[in-house]
This record gives sequence, C-alpha cells and structure tokens, in this order.
Amino acid sequence: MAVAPAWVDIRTPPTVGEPDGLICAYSGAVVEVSDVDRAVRFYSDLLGFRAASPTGGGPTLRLSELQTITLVPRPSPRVIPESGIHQAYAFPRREVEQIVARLEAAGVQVHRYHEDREVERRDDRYCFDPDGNRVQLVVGTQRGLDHAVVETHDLEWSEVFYTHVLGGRVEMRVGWRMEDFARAWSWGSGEDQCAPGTRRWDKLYTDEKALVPRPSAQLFVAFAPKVTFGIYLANEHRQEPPRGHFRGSPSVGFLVQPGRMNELERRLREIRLRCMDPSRAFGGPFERAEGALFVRDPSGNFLEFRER
Amino acid sequence: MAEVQCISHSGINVVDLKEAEEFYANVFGGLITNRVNFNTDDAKRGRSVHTSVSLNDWLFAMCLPRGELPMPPEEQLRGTNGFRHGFRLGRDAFGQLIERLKLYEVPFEGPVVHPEQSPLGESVYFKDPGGNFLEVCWRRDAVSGGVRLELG
Repeated sequence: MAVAPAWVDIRTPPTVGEPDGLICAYSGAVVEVSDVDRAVRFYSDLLGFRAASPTGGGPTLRLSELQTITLVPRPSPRVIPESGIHQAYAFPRREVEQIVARLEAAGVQVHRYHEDREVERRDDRYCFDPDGNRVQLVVGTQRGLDHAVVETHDLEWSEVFYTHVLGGRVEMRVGWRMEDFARAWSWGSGEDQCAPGTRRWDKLYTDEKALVPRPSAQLFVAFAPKVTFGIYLANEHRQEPPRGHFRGSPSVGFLVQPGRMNELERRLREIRLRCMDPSRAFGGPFERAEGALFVRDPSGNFLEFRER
Repeated sequence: MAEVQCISHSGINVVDLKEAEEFYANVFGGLITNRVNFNTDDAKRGRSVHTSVSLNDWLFAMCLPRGELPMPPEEQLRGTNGFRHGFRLGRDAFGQLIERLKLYEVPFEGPVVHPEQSPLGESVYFKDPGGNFLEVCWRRDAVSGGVRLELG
C-alpha cells in the first residue's frame, strides 16, 4: 500500500545524533573530460591510479578496493574550476610528496591554498586535471576518494535533503558565524589564501554598493565515520540538467549498507521536498537500474548509490 | 502625532546563527520564517546574512555583524547590551518558561517579584547566546486583547 509522503523543509526539526549509517562509504566519482587519453595519463601516470574494468561511460581507474573514477568524454566537459567543486584523494604522506614531485615535473601547478574544514587545513595540495577538474591531495592512511564537494544554489534545501532523506548529519557549517565573516576580510586583503569557491566578493545593495569579502556558505555532511560530503553555495547561477534527468555526469558515488537499498528507495519516495520533481516511473527523485539507484539532488547534482 | 500601532520587527546581532536559531526555538518555541543569503540569488544581490524568526506576532531578524560584537561579562544576566527585549506571557506559562530555561541550561536571574503597585508581576532575566539581554515577565494588568497600564 502506498504511503503518503512526508514533506520536509527548513522548519522540520533537524535530525540529531549520529548519522543513520545508511550510506557507509564512497564508491567513487564520474568526471567529464574532453580528451580521455590525456585524462587517463594524468590520473594514472601522475596520481598513480590503475586501470579497472570499464563501466561503459568511459575509461575507469581504480582508486581503492571499493572505489573507481570514470572519465566520461564530452566535447565541452562540465567543469567549473573557479567553484568549490572538487574531489579529494587520500594517499599516505610519503606518496603525497612523490605525487607532488611528479605533478610539478610535468608542469602541473600545485596550489597550497586552504579550505575551512579544520581537518583539511594541513598537508593538503590542490591542482587541476587537464580539463580543469579540481583535485585535492590529502594525507590519509588509505588510498582512495577521501571526500567530494558539490555546489548548490540553495543550501537550505540541500541540508534538508542530505540530512532528512539521506540520513547524514551536519558536521560543520561555514558562513553561519560572525567569525567566518571576520576571517573573510583577511582573504579580501590578500593575507589568507583560500581555495576557490570558499570566499566571494559581495556587492551590497546598501552602503553605496560597496564590495565586501564574505565566506561562501558551506555545509559538510557526515554519513558515517570518515565519510564526509561537502556542499558549497554557488556564487553564480549554473545551468542545471534538464528536468526529469536523474542519471548523468559528473556524479558522486556512494555505497549503501548491505540490505538497505530498499530502505533508501523508500526514503526517497516517502520523505519529499517540494523543490524536487519525482520520476514518473519511480515516484521519487530517482531511477533504479543496473543494480544502482541514481538520484538527482535539489541542485541537479547526480548521485549514484550501490549496495556494498 | 504618529499613530504607531505596535513594534513591527526588530533586528538583533548574534554571533552564530544556528546557535541562536536553536536557542529561540528551544526556549521560546520560535519559528524560522526564512534565512537570507543561503541561496545564490541572495548572494548575487549582496543581501545581509540573517535568519528571521517569529514569536507569536513579533518578527525579529537575527543578523551576523561584519566584525566584532561587544559581549557583556559572562556572569552578567541582567542589563542592556545596547538594549533589552522584554516579553510578556501568561502567569501559568511563566513557570513553564523557567522549566525550559533549566532544561536547556540557560543561566537566569529571578524570578524577581515586582512591587505590588507595579504592572509587572514577576520577571526572569537572561541572555541569548549572542549576548542580547532578555526579560520575560507576567503582568498583573494583563487583560484579554491587550495590556492596560495602571501605573501607581
């Protein structure tokens, strides 16, 4: 019997406590590139990822035992290097130094700017792949995708979706506290090197149109221990995928706890946001195919879920 | 003579919007009306960063200041940090509010019993997390549909 959907929004009491644990790990990412051979050389020769069985969308490289990255060829890849969007890959400390040396030897500029999340403020490096997809190198005990960051046009709806529907918990907020705004002035004066997408210049509609530096609002949502997902407020409007598309690239992949895919599907169908169009076939903002669940978040970011 | 009918809304400064939202929701049952500058439209328009919360028919915007926000001493629970907002509630609800303050571990001063001639019965004094002083009282002269002042 069909269950009436429960509508959630910013007035719905927030979820508290530990994450639901529905999502237990990253499964990887799909990025768009214009030249797959060039991209494969970057991710394999410079970052050290090895080829894996292709998934159909394009060449696939293995990030870890459970994770892959797929390079989807597109004449005009959807890449926004000036935004906060990026994928962060973890390597043992010594390997990070070796990768940085290889990148610099290949003429790839390695940046030392920082983001706001405390655990990312040390030992991190950033660069761009040949198409402008931003890559972050972080120190970790295990190789693989450490975290991913997407953009949203509405941080409130995103918070509602990623917490109430997907069961995450807000680990950290940026842009909600006075000190976040005070810190942005250091960036504005050139004293603080911040990663793209973390700060912006606002033209106030008062104060004779003064320009002021501000933080771009951000949320970091934890799905499980060491599984944190970043959501940055977009500083510009971007074209979203056409309505009714639930599957596409770029995308971020997650693993769902064994035996809980149906629960995820039920939640997507029953916990609803007014801003999200449901699929006619599935009754929620998703499609289920090929053993996976493909979801489009409130800002048109594609997500892929597979059971672990 | 200006025919002011009531206070329409207030703007107050806070240091942490989320913390302030939770405070006013927990202690007063405040409802979030809207947040500003958490979507791209607002950012592009350079709007101020604030959350609007309604308490019954009073709307107030909790704003993040651009720089320093002077904070009163931690132990000071009664006073003005530029201003103090006072709220009236029914005598029965007054005790419930005190229970809420205890539940959420909000330090308060009072209840202070006012002189019998005073229109105020009792008050409690406390601060929100942004250092804004608050007073909540029940009034002896409260009548249905409004407040009748009988001073002295």
